[in-house]
Amino acid sequence: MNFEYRALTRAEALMRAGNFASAVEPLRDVLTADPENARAHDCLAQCLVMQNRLAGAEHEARAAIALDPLASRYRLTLASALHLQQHRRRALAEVDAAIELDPDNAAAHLTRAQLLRLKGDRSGSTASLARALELAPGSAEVLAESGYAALERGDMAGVEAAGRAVLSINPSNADGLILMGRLSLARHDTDEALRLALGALSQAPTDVDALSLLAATKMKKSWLGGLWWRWNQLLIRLGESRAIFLVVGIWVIYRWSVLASRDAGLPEATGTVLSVVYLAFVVYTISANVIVTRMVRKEIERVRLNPRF
Amino acid sequence: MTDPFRYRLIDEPRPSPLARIALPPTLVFLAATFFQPWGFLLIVFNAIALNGPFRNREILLALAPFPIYFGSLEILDRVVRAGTLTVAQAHYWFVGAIGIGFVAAAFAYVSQERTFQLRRYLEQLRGYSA
Repeated sequence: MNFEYRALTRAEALMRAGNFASAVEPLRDVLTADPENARAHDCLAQCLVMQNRLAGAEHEARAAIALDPLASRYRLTLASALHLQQHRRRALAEVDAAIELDPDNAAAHLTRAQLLRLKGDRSGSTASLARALELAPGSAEVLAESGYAALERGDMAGVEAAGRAVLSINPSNADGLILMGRLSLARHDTDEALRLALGALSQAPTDVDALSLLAATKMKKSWLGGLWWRWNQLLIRLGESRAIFLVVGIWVIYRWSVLASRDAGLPEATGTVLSVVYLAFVVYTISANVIVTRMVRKEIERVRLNPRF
Repeated sequence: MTDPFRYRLIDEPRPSPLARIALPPTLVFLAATFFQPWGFLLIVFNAIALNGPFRNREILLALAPFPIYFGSLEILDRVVRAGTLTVAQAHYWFVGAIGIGFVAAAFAYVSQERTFQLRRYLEQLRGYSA
């Protein structure tokens, strides 16, 4: 029991420090000794969510809920895993269940606001955010969410106000730095945006928004890279299934175009040109992915080599 | 991680004797699209080699293009013989049918890519701890 407690405490300390990858092994130790430890299952689910291992995260969160169905926190973890797998309705149902269990849970209202915002329900999101602000008025997380909501509306004054409010609470808060970075990017100040993205990464090395800001900043500097970035963002927004249908749809249209050019009696070269364009698109998509990954890794290496990291 | 008594995470690939010869799924998928329909067998082989948590689903998805490919050939042949479609029109239908097969294979590819990346990540972790 003592060993389990120490391993769990160590894992939670690693998680607080943002080192989710290292927290997995101590949690595995706890669950090897006691597979019915709901807290360990939940912590493991949170670590897996941060590592984008969503099937595993969902399984662990469900195990935690099965062991302790009245804990609202576990339902929020499950909601995160479901949301990232594009199961938005099921994620929202879990958040609603968490609010029913604990109506004054600010984190639950905040998660509800985030999910509704991503679903496009602005009024619902604003209402949930207002409730979260009521329950946790000085919370940097809630203020940051109001900044992200303003960013989605294109309200740059709102983004700046929220970013500054978050940074006044904690000058090195990753969300505050990301919001100010987004603002700099919108103002075409890519150097400042890059500095802020690297600052956010040094605080939260696994933060998806920080990595996304870093990549967006690098991409803004090149036309071809920017095009790929927009295409990639579109695929991410569509989700896995729709993205697959879109990509296969492009292939079908390409093949139909080749057939149509032949049936219309166009010169043989038309089909060749279409094939070259299609192949160039495929090669560009694959190579841009490799180039962006390398560029981002290079920048992250700069963060890791910084003595203040 | 190889200790059978250790708590196992559901998404982790199980040890496989063929893991060393598993190919990058992007390469396999590209090869499959160029060498239809037999190239899809490469995705099946890779599913077995990677031995991921969704191996059987990946195998079924990679095999799905075969009945679609040969079935559509057979049906379109009959339809053309019956005079319902011209040969040129049948070509368009055939491309559509192959597209449906691609969708199934693409789902298998996405699942394999996830397993491949996770296996590589876990190997890196083991490398650091060794």
